[in-house]
Amino acid sequence: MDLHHITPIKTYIKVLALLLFLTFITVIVAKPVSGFDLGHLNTFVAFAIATVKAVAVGLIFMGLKHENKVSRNYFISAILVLLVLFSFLAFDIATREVLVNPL
Amino acid sequence: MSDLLGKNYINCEKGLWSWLTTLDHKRIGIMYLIAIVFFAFLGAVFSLILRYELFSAGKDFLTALQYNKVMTYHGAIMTFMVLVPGIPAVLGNILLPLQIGAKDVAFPRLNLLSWYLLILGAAIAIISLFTTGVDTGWTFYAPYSTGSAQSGTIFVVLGAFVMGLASILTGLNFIATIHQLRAKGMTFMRMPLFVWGLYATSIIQIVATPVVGITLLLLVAERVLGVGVFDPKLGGDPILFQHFFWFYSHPVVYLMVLPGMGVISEVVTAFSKKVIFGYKAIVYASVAIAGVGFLVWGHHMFVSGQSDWAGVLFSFITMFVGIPTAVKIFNWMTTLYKGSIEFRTPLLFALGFLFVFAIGGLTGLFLATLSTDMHFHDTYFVVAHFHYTMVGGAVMAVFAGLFYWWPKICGRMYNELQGQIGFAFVFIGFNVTFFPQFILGAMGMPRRYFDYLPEFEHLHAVSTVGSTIVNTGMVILFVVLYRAWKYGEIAGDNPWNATTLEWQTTSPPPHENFTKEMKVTGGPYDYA
Amino acid sequence: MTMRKHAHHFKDGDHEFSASKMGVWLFLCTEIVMFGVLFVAYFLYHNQYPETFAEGAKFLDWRLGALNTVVLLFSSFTMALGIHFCQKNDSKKAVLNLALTLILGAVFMIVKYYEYSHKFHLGLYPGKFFSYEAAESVNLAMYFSFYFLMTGLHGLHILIGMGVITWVLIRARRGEFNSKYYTPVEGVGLFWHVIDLIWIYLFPLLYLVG
Repeated sequence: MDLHHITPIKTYIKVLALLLFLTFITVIVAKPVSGFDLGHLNTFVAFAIATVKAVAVGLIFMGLKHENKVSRNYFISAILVLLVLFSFLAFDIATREVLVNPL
Repeated sequence: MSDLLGKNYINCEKGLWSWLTTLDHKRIGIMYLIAIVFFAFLGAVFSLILRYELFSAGKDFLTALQYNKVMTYHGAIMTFMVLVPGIPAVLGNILLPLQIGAKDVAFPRLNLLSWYLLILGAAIAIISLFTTGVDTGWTFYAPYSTGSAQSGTIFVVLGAFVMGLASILTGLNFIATIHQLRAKGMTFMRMPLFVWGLYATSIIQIVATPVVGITLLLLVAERVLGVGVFDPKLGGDPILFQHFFWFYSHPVVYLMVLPGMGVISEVVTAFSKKVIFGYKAIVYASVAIAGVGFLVWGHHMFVSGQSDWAGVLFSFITMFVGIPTAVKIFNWMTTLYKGSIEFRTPLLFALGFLFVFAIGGLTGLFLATLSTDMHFHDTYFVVAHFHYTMVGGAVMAVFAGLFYWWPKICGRMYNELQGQIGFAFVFIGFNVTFFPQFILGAMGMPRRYFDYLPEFEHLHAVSTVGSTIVNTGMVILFVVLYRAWKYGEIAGDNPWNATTLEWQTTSPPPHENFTKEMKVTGGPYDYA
Repeated sequence: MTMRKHAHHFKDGDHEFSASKMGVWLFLCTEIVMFGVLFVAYFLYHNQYPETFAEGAKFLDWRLGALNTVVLLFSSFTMALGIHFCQKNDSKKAVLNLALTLILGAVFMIVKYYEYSHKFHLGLYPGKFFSYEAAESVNLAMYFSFYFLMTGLHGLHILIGMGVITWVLIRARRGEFNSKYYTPVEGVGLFWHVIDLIWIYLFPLLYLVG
């Protein structure tokens, strides 16, 4: 790790450009904008792009790339915990014998 | 009083204001102690009201609604205000920096803020007493809590949210302290086991508490705005509330007991004058309990309407909690084996812990087994089980820790005989209170009912007598501690000849804990 | 430039900096988990009531969402530059960038204000205050409950973020920060980036996927 790492402005500009480009892409491929209807794939693409953007923000803007291991691991474990919560819930709901629609 | 003891953290500044604005972790710990003893007193009063209502069958002096409220306050106060902050905020605050050779916790101001948040949250929750009160049970299950429950529910829920924030900040502070402020030479594998217990606890505080935080906010939104997330009338799923709630509240029972286990490790090794058996095994077991604790919450929901397959999965995973827990218990027993044991009050509490917690843990297996839980669910068996783990685990450990470290905290020794008498009251009273409840539960007595069939009367009466004995014991113990603080004999710096760092400074420690830079060259329990 | 004394329990300024930064990261973990729970609930109900959520999403204008995404991305960029110039002892430029961040935050909130008032105008309130007449799904209110809860909590964080940016801006103007001590700017920056991070997910979730 590098405590006082100074990221050059050039890197920041590149990342910003990447983020804007990805925002443009994600808007273009979205169903309400362009009418591309790929079913569930639409959702998948949108979140894949969002994840690339999030990683870029995390690594460069937030400096996770040069952050100490402990903070990085905690940050990752927070996301893991959410995955655990989501997967058990999804498992429960998917295997309920009758999913009663209360409405 | 303190003139005999030299300059220390207690007498270095004077006046109430110097306490309310202090940044010294030891003083903040004492303030937590005072606040929590007060909350515990409130919770105990509610528990006695419950027990006396249940003393005989039929309505005695409470209506069913009043009974529900008293039961809710007992549960909510004891969990959110006593057990959750209990060991970490009192003993952890005072001892964590001392045990790792630091001058303070990483963020002293945040530490003080946590205390004020706890008080604020508690105040918000207690205000509800002057409104309609709250009758949901401490679990606030939807859709009752989102619908027809008493309107005071909002206060208690918001109070619990604010106290959750306090708990998060404490956990954050401890993790940063442990990572950043250890003395030279103290590697992770040279940390005292109490510190490891606190570390595992803090992880749970950081990752699980936000879940319950947002869930409680959603509950408030549900009541105020009718958002429909948990309300089936609006298309919501009340089981989702239980999922979110237990996702926090199951790990939180480990949050209560893990630091307690840390205390037991310290006490057992100090009073058998022997290196702890299987240091690394205990460390890994602590972390494993915290980790597995996140994967088992559904065992609270076997009869809630979650899917059968989810029930099977949660039941299966729950069994794994037994392994690290048993590892710890075997390690403590092996540490005692052939040690030069000194039966002082702290050790008695530690042995009491082993006895009570073993029963609590084993009955947990009955409840984790899907088929037997169908019978035991929502009976007194469950009530007895969690009192055996949480009161056995947390409260026995709190007293073990308080008596063990009291000479360090105030520089004076408690009266041994009086301490042991107090222990006898608590230990006997506790078992008399809760053991009959296992039998009641097995016979089919449902929990949270204010009345019961005549055949349950004898056991309920025994239980009520027991609760009176326990509470008498608690009063005795606090009087013993108070008298020690005021009039006790000077204890000396290391009355137990223990080896961890806190015993190498003066009693009570000075404001900055140590007069010189500490250096560590070996493990924490060097009794060889 | 004044030299700042580190707190008594740290070895030196760097030690204090690294501890403080770790504290901020741990706090951000709790933020991620808290927002994450809302996302989890959204996913589950989206799966259960796809038509309701599709109908609700039609009321959102992706152009405004995209505009706000761009605004927040730029604000993250200026925030990063603010820290960069603190590290280089250039207070003037640091102040300028912090001020820009603040303005971009305000722009975000103004756009949000327009979006909200448009929905209130139609009667698309959350929960039981929902009064839109022409809804096809029975529980369209639930979609707007989620919409307002998630964007509302996010907007609240933007406001808090603007508050703390103002605080470091004032301190930066007084010249309190330099390459040796800029901890508050760093912490506020991390907080601001996390708000951006959450919006990066909120944008496709609410505006694009439907």
